[in-house]
Amino acid sequence: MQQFGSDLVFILLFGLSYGLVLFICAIGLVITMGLMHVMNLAHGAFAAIGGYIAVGLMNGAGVPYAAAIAISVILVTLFSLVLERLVYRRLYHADHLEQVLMTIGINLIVIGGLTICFGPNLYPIRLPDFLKGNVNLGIREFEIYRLFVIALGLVVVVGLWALFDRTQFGAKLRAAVDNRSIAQVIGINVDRMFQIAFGLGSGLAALGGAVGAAMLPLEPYYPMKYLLLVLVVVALSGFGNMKASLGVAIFVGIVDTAGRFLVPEFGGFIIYLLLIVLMIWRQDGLFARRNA
Amino acid sequence: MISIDSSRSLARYRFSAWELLPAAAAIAYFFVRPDYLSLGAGIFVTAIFAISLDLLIGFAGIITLGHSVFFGLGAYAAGLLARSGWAEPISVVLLSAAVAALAAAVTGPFVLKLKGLPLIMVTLGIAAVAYEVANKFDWLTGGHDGLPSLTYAPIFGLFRWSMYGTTGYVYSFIWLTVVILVARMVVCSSFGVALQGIRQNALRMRVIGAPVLLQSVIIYTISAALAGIGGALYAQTNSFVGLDTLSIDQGVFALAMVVLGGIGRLYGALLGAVVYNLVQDSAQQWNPYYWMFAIGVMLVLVVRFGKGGLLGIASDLGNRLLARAGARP
Amino acid sequence: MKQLLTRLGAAMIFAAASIAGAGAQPVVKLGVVGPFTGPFAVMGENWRQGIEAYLAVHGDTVNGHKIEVIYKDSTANPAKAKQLTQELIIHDKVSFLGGYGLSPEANASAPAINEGKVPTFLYHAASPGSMALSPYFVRMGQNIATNAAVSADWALKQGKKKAYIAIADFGPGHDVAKEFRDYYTAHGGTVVGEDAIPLNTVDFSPFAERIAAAAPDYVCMFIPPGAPAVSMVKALAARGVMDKTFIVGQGEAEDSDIHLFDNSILNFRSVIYYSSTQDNPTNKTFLDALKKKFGPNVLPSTFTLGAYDAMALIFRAVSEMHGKAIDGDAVMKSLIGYSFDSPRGKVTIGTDREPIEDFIVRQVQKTSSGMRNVVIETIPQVNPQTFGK
Repeated sequence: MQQFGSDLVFILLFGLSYGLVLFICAIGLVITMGLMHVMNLAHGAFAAIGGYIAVGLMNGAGVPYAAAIAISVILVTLFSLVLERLVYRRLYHADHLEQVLMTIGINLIVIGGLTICFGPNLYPIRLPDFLKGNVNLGIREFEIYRLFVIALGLVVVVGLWALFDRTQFGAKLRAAVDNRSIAQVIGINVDRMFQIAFGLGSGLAALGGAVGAAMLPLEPYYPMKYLLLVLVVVALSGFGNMKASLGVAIFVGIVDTAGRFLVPEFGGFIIYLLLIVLMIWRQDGLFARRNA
Repeated sequence: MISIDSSRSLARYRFSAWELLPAAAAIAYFFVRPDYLSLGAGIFVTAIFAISLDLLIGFAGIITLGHSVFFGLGAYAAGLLARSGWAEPISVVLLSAAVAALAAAVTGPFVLKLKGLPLIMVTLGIAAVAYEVANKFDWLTGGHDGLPSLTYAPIFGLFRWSMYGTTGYVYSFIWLTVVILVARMVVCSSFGVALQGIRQNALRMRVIGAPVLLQSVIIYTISAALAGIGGALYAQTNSFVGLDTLSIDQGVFALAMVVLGGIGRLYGALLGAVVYNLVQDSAQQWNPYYWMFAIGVMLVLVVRFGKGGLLGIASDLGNRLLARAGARP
Repeated sequence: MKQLLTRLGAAMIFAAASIAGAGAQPVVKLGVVGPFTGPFAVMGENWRQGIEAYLAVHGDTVNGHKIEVIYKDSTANPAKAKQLTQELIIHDKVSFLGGYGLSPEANASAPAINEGKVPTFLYHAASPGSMALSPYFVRMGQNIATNAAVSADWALKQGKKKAYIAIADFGPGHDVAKEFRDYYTAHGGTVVGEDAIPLNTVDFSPFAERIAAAAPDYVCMFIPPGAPAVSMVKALAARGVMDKTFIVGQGEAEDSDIHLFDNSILNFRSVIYYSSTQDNPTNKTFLDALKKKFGPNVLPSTFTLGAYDAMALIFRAVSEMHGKAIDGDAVMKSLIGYSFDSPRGKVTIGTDREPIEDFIVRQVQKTSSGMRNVVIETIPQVNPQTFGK
């Protein structure tokens, strides 16, 4: 019984921390897809770049953990704004094929570029001392680092909720997502909205990549490797449903963890099979919305 | 915008002299580089896969990143047939194509109901699962080690397989010609025109009563069969099948080949595959990550400038030259 | 026309060179096929170091024949390896082949090698099944099943009776699991749990959890080096398993990779057949040659070793050569039962073309030059055909 309790807590806590990292990485894509209907398969690249810059600053220049993450998020956000201007703006009215090709191209460029700069193998992160070690929760021990991830994830959730539900910017953003043309008619600068949303989303991805680097290790193939997982979260939450994506991300984290723990032989399959079945059965995601 | 040449779709059924160029090039290669026929056969196999992908993406507008599943199915079918003693090469190819086609026909009606991102994701998911299954069932597929030393009977009892690759070269070129003819037939038919209609506006096609899902499933099946032919030929010319026949990367690079040559231009896929593989082979000292970088840049540039790939550039130049010739009195 | 003239010209130059060269013995060529770029590039790099070090010590001419080495990059793709092998045999007319970093590359190239009758040295590929595919394969490294048997045997000798098998879910992992399980249970141990960890695993915590729950005293591990190995060790350490149990792998934490791990790798043990710290004259010559050519910080690996030792076998074959061309069958016959001194100690080529060699057990310890693999025990002259039987 003790073992069962410990197992259950393990699945819930580890799944929660894993899911929250996925959430932070994926929420940017949820916003982009919902707002601009752009299939940005290169979203993972921002997470990778964010992670690499943060770890590079820590390893190479001895920058402290928090500062390294903050700097990398700012740099990636700026970079994404430039990219939005030059490249993504033209994709808003392009067809699916062009979006797919362009963003796969960006992915390959980033993968190639990261290898050229950092080598083809693992780029390890050394966690700062205050995040190392375990804490005793009574029923079992739990990594301090994962508690930190959970805490940070919740802060991001609360922050986003405050932004979207409590600010004028958030109201305008939600309006633009719901109905772009009417939003424009009533004077909302939709182009500016896109830019800010894209920057926000990419910055969050960078945060996810940097903070999650100890769980999702950094290597040049990162953008393609976690692409499918991020897409799973986006698709199952219905392409734009930001509130749903939190629940879905945690769900995916827990199911994946539980699958690998309980049925390790097939654990890797479970999440993909779930995706295929759900996509075919409920095309608009688990929480289908009626769109105007 | 990527311009897909749909204007001359009905006129395409007429054979033009340019279409003999691939055969001429293949014959020339045979005499100029007789020690490198294995590379040539490999290029033909990749070209078959690229053409099958172009039928889906370029003509029917079905964007899939998991097409390698059908190639891999064909390859493993051919491998397992050889393993269990069925070694007549031509029937092996046909059977393997049938296996791939069956898989497409069974999954198509469900998968093709989706469009856009859900479709991409499901095809990616299926490919990921297929790879894992092949890895897991290593008693059947050989797993990581693969199915080695596959032996096939001489073709028509006459032409033996050897490491010199002569038989493999001619054999896969003949199959490539068959695949091109089949693809051509599809594209030039009224079915092909209907497909382009679906790609451009599926809703409109439904409104005029076209059986969109059925037509999508049909092209999906045909394309899978062609990919299966490619896979079977891979098994026969390499005497080996490994997990990389199912890898998603393969599909992404085939996509790059199609874009390089020109999407939706039938011969674009062939040209793209040839150029891509020849350049990659001769740039052997290039780190594959530099290569990846270059391919990424190529994709971005082609999308950005919408030139329709190499064939597009060639036909633009051709038109411009013709116009200038026509302008002279 | 231009084509024709160029070809005529080339033919004439070739003829002239042949006439000029007649009287000298023909060049003997070695073709090396494997990954020189991409994620496995370290294999090709190390092979080159081993080969060049050997040539620096022994010169490049044997019995009047100059030895020429041709390197071809397969990027670890089996079909490409096969294509390059064919080209080397047909176009370059190599007398020997070497390399084949991953077993599928060797497996795919076997038919061509058999048709060409070319002695082929697998520098470190470890799949048990490869040898049966060609009578021209000579294994320079280890058979992974032998390694697993040695590990199982050592575990029992250490009094560890409850083992957990945690391997990556692919061919080599399954080979290790099967051999370990068979040997261990046949000799009195109990396998308390077994996991085949999917290759795409990112988060190893569930597996560390399962291992902790089973409370073994020995964990037989086989995880690909790099990101997976690092994550696995991290997860095990976080779960407290690293302190309580013997975690024993093979190549997960080579000296060149240790910088990727944090202190959680301390006490990690491994069973392998070579360590650069081994103390014998041949190893000293090997290390000196490497340092002289590649600088004092060069780290020799089992990859470097395989290529180096193969050169010794090639030199011997060429010195025994009668006539102008290498007779593949004669070379293979003369190799069986041949013993030589390798930097790893004495090696004999068995009748199954597998090496009979010493195995060593290493442990990661803090040394004056940082964390390093230190040899803690040697198991001498393990014969794959007879070990433990």
